[in-house]
Order: sequence, then structure tokens, then C-alpha cells
Amino acid sequence: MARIIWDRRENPTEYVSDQLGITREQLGDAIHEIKAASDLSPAERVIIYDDGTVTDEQGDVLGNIHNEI
Amino acid sequence: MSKAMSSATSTTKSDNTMRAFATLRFAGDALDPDEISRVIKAKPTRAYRKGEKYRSGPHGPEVTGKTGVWYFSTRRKIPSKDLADHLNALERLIAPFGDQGNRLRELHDLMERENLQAHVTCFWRGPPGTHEPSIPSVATDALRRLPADITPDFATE
Repeated sequence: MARIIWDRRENPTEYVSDQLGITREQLGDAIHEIKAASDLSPAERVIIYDDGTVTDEQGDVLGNIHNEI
Repeated sequence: MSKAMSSATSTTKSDNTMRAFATLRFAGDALDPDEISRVIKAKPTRAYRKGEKYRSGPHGPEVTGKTGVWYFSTRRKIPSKDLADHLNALERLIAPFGDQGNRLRELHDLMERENLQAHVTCFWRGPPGTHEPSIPSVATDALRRLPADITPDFATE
């Protein structure tokens, strides 16, 4: 069962990239791509799980960080 | 360390950590990705119809499109760290040189007919203390005439 590692509106911290085993730069690029490809604005809140899954606030899957690296 | 040496080191570090890219997407419930690709004459980074199930890659479950999307990102296509270069690439997609506005008009008509929206996002990250870039109007004129809204995502880290 994947665990939530980020659910705040602001840009994720280094803790999140460390948990995913990627750099903070890779994380920032990936989140922007996932939001834009899902028709979300950069300011919209998403939830990040420790397996890289990203969902919107309703829990609908938008993508996976590891697919964007 | 001399002041000149310190400054040069700082500049190199800034160049290495600066990143920029831009994205263009069309969205709407009636969007047909093939129709957008036919007009733009380019393959999208990702595209799907409303309700279509698709995989964003080898990781994770299928995703269902909440609306139709045709999405293009310059991240893996334009190596420049200058945001203007990325916006110029998007401009050339919708208003190629020598086209006399034909593609822009066709896209505008398609957006009206299918009730589509167009959005541009500008991604930029730089080291602390760096000035955020401005969005050059000369590189976004055609995008604004689509019309597309243009949203910055700028931060230092």
C-alpha cells in the first residue's frame, strides 16, 4: 500500500525527492509535466505517494513521477 | 579566493542549475487529438480523449482522461535554458514562418467550434538570488491571439 509523502500546495521539499530516489530538479520538472498534461494549472494541489504515484485532490490518478524522469 | 574568481564560480553554478521549458495544451470535452495534430503537423507529447484510458508510462495504473487533452512540452526537445527559446518553439507550432496566419486561424476556428481552451505554462527554476525571467511579449503574441492564457511557474531553489 503506497504511503502519502506530500499533500501540500507548495513545491515539494528535498524530503520528497529523497524518498523517491531522484533529484529535486527531476521532481520539479516531473510534477509540472504531470499537472500540465492533466489540464491542471501549476498552482493546483496534488498528492504524491512513495511509489511515485500522483493524484489530484479527489484521489484520481494523474500519473507517476518515475514515468517522467 | 579573489572576488573575480568567486563571481565566475557563481555564474557557472547558476548556469548549471537553471532550467526552463514551456508547455502548450488544448483541452475540452469534444477535443479530437488527431484533429489538432493534423492542423499543427506535429506529434503531441501526450494526447487523449475525454474518458479514454491511457498509460503515462511503465509505472503506475491506467489513467482516465477527465477531458480531452492535446499536450506538447518543449522539455525534451529544446535544450536551451532561455525561456524565450521555448516559447518561440511553441509559437512556431501554431504560427510557422511564411504561413501568413492560416494555421492560427484554423486553430482559432477549431477552438470556437469545439469549445476548446488553450493554455501555456512556463517553467523556470534558478538558484537563490537569481532574478526570475520575464515572459517576452514578442515570443507570445501568436499564443495570446489563439487565445491561450499563459501561466508562469517560477521559483528559486
